[in-house]
Amino acid sequence: MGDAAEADRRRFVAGVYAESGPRLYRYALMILADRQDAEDVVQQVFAGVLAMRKLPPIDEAGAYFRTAVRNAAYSLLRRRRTARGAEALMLEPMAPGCTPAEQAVLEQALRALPPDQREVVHLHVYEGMTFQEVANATAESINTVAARYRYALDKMRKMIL
Amino acid sequence: MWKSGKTDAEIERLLSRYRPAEPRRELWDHISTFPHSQISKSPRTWPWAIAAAALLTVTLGLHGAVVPAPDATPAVDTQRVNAIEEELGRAPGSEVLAEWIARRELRAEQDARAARATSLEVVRQ
Repeated sequence: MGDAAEADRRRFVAGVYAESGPRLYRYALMILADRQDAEDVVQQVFAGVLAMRKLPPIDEAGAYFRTAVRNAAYSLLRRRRTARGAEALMLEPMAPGCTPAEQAVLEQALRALPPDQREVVHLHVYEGMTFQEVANATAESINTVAARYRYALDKMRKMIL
Repeated sequence: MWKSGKTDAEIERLLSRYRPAEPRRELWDHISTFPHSQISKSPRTWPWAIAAAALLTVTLGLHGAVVPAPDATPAVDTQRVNAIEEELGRAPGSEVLAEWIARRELRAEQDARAARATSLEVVRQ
């Protein structure tokens, strides 16, 4: 009985990881701006669910894992007293004609943003969420979300000439 | 108003030419072999945190009702309270418990400091 429940739990978590693990990692990466920290956060969340007695409802798994990754990422940021130096690149080129110089400028501009602004940029640009959806996912008002996006783009504009 | 530099659309277009990096392939292997004993914050611990917080609230309430002591407690370090809350899993009610623990720590620290000062005084005399 215990083994069957354990196998079910592993299947469930493996399924969620296969479907949205990389996406959750990218989300954590954009909040933390550090690949190792993003891996740690995703590992912590998934391993935590593997150890849970009661699994989250399957139809809410996406939102559950996203919120858990977000909470773990911000919690790690609070514990992290000083900002880490940028070691590994945060971005990957997706289109022809991308150059290392262009990527470096974009990376620098993104890293210069506060995590909450980078998060909004990520959810809006890379996850394709509307501001309302971002507001729901982050438990912020739509005005706050829109303002963060605006500040982020203004700051990036100054860095990307 | 005229703005220098790129437009919002241009910045968005530039962003969409890239995307955040993928995780390493081995990440799932790490997750699936992660020992449960190393998970510091099990979601199963939260009912205990609530029970402890409730018990503490009742105890403090009773204590306050019986002994109306003047509030001479020094301000607690909010960072420390946050850290303790974190350790308690940020369960509902954990802030009460965290603040109480932080106050106890602070008081113990002050007592230890006072004891050290007293013993130094004794040694000097």
